Amino acid sequence: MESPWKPYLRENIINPYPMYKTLRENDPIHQARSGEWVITRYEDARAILKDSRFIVGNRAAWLEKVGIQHLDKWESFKVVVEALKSFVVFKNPPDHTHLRKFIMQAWNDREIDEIIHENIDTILGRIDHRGFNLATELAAPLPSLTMTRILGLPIEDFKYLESLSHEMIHSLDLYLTFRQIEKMKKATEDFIGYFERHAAQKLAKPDDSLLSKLIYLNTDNHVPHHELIGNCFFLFVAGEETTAGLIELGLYHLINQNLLNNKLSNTRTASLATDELLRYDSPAQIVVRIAKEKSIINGHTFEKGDPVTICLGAANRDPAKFKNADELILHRSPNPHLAFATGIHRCLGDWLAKREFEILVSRLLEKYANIDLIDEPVWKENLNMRSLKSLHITCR
Amino acid sequence: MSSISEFIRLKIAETLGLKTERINPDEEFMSLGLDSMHAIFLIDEIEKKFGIEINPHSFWEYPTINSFAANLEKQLKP
Repeated sequence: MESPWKPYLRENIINPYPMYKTLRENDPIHQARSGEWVITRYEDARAILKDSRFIVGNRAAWLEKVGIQHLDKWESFKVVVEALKSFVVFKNPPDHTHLRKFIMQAWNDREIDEIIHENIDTILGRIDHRGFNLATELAAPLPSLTMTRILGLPIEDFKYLESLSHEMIHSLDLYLTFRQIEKMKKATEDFIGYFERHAAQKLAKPDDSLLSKLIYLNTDNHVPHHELIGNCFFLFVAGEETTAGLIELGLYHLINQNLLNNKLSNTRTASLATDELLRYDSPAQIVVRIAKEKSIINGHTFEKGDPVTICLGAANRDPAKFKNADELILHRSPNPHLAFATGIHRCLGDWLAKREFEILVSRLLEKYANIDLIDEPVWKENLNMRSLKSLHITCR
Repeated sequence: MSSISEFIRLKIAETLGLKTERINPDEEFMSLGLDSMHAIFLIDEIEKKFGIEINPHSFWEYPTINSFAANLEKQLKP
C-alpha cells in the first residue's frame, strides 16, 4: 500500500488535515517509508509527550551525522549543531531540568500588557490600513518587537533579528538543503555575535530586562556561557515564529469564518477563542522524539532508537477527544489541545503568545469596524511550522 | 536520457559505490538505498552544476531519477 504520509506535497502543506484523518483512521501509528513512526491520535501523542522514555535531540543528532559524513562541509554544520544542542527545547534531563529552571527564574515577568499595547499601536500606525500584508507587516513584526523589548535590546534592531529568526526556523524543516544550512550558519553566527555584544553591555550596565536578568543570575556560570547565549537566541526564535503563526492563522480563520466581532472584546471569551484557534490550526504542527529504550505505548512496541514524529495538528483534530473536531467552536471548553505540546517540554511562552494575540484582536476591534480579506492566503512551504507568506487584508 | 538525469544517475552511483548501469532511473530513490541525508548532498551538487535552486520537497514528490529530472527540466526552461 502506498503511504498516505506525504508531508512534502503542496496540497498537504496547504491543508494537512485530510492526510491526518486518513492516517488516524487507518494506521494511527504509521511507519513512514523513511522509517519514522507517525503519530496522529490524541491519546498516543499525549502519552509519548509525557513519557520520559521518549527523548528529544533528533534534529541536532541527525545534522551531526550528516555533517560528519561530509567532512569538507562539517564546519558549516558544526555551528548550527552546537547552537541547536544548547537550546533548552532540545535538551534531555538532567541538563534540561536545570536549564529550564534557570530560564524560568528570569522568565517570570508577566507585566507585559503595556509593552504589547505600545507595540501594536506603533505597528498599526505605520501600515496602510486600506490594504496590507498581515503576515509581513503585522504578524511577524509584533512578536519580534515584543521579544526585542522583553530581552532589553535596542528597538531598532527588531527587523534585523526577525530576519535572522526566519532563517533559523528552517532548522525544523522536514527537508533541508545545504544552501539552507549555509544560511542558518550565517544567521547563527550573527545571532551569537549580536547577543555576545549585548550580554557584555548588560553585564557592565544591568537593567530589568530578561537578558540582563539571565546574565545576573548566571554570575557563577552555573550555565555554560555559550548555552546562555544560545538560549537567548532560542527564546527569540521560539517567541517570534510561533506567535507570528498564531496571529496569521488565528486572524485568517476569524475573518474567513466571519467570527471577528465584538464578542471577542470580552477577556474570557477571547481567551477561550484563542485556545480554540490554537487547537483548530496550530502553528507548531509536528514535534519529534526518539525512543530511548524499548517502550510499549497503547499496545504498540517502539524499539530503542526509533524516531517518532508526533503530529500535534492531527491530535488536535481527533474526534475521539474533541467533539466536532473539524469545526471551529470558539467557546469550546474544556479544551486540552496540544498546540503547546505537553510534558516537560511544554512551551514556556504560551501565555505571551496568547496575550499578544488577544490584545491585538481587541485593539483591532476597537479601531476598525470592518476587517476583510482581500485575497487568499499564501502558505509557507513547511508543514512543521504552519504559517503564511502573505495574507492581504483591509481594515476600515 | 537527458543530461540532468544522466548527471543524477552518475552522482547516485558514486554515492552508493555502484556502477552507473546498475542504477535504474525509474526505481524509487528510497528503494535504491537513498535517504534524506543523501538528498542534501545530491541536491547541492545538482544546484551547483545547473545553477538552479531546488525545493527539497521535490526530491520526495518526484522520487525517481527520471521524474525528478523531468521536473527540474521544466524549471530550467523559461
